[in-house]
Amino acid sequence: MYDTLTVEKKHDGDQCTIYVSGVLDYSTMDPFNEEIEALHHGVNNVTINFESLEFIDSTGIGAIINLVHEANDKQFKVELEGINDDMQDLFETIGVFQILDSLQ
Amino acid sequence: MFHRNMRFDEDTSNEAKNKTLEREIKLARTIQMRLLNGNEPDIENGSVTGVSIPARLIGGDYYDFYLLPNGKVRIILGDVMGKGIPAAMLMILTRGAFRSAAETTKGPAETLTAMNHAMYNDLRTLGSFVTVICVDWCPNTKELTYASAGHDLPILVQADQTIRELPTNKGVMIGGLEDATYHDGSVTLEEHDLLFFYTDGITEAQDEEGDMFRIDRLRQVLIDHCHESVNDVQEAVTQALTSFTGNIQQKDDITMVLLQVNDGEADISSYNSPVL
Repeated sequence: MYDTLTVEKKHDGDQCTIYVSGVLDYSTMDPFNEEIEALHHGVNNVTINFESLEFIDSTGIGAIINLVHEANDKQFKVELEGINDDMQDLFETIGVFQILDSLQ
Repeated sequence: MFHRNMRFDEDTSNEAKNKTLEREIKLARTIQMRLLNGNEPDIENGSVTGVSIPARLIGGDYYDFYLLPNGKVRIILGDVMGKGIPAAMLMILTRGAFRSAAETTKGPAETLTAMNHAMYNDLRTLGSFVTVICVDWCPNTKELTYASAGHDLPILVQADQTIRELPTNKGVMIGGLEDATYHDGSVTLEEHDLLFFYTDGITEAQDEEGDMFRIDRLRQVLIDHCHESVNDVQEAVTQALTSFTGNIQQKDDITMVLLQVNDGEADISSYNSPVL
C-alpha cells in the first residue's frame, strides 16, 4: 500500500487556500510542489490547511519552509491553519513558527 | 534484425550503466561508513555508544563525538531533510561544518551558530535543512550543556527508572534563518543516568497497521533496560523496533546515541562511531 496526498486549491480574490490531505512526505511531494509552482502572480495571501493531513515528514516541512522563504522574496503572506497537536509540537521543535515570525 | 540488434545494444548499454551506478552507490556507502566508523572516543566516568541504520544503502542521519582539550566530549546527532543519496551528500557537508566549528567554539550553542553560518547559503540554495542536537558532557563535574537546532532533546532516564525532563531549549533548524542564534541549557547528571539521543526514524517507525512506534514506547524500553550497559540498551531498542515493525520495510534512517554516567568506569564502545 502506498501513501497518497490530495491537494485542493481554492481562490478567493487575492487569497489562495491550499487544502492538503493524506500524507505529505518524500514519496508524495509532487502534487504539492506543482500547486505551489502554479500559484498566480496576483495572490497576496496563501493559506495551507492541514486539517485532513495525517502525516508530514522533513521533506514536507522543507516544502513549507521553502514556501515561506519564497513568500518573503516575492512579498506575499503565508498562513498555516488546521494544525493538530502533534504537528504543533513538531513545527515548534523544528522552528517553523520562528521562521514564519521572523520573515513575515 | 536491425531493430533487434539495436535493442540488444540498448539493453547492454543500460546494464552497463546500472552496474556503474550500483558500483558508485556502493563506493558512496563505503565512504560514508568509513567516515562514521573510526576510533572510539576515550572519556572518563561514562560510557557512550551509537549506531546509525540507513533506510537505504546510504542515509542522511549523522552523529559524531569530538574530544575537547578541556576534557569534555562534544556529541552531535543530526537528521538531514530527505533520504538516500541527496541526504547523504548533505550529511557529509554537516560533518565538515561540525568538525570545523567544534575546533573553535566554546559550547554547543556557539557550535550550532557557526554551523548555521557556514551552511545556510548552501542549504537555502538547495531548499534543504538539517536538525541537530549538540551537547558538551563534562565527566568531572557531570554537567551537561546542550543546544538544539530544530531537534528533539535527548531522553534522560534516571537510576530510579523515572524520566527527567530536560528544560526546554528550542532553536531553529540549521538552514532555516540566516541570523539564527542558539542558547545553551545545562543540567547536572547523576550516577547511572542514561541519556538517549535519537532521530525520528525511531519514533515514526510503523507497524503493519500503520501505527507509529512513538515516544511513549521508546521511553518504556529505556525505562525497562536503563540499568543495563549502553550496548545492551541499544540492542534492546533495536530489538523492540524490529519486533514492532515486523515485515514492514524501514522507511527512514534510524540513529541513536547513548551516554551513561558511570563513576570511575571507562567503558567506551561504539560500532559506528566517527573518526576523531
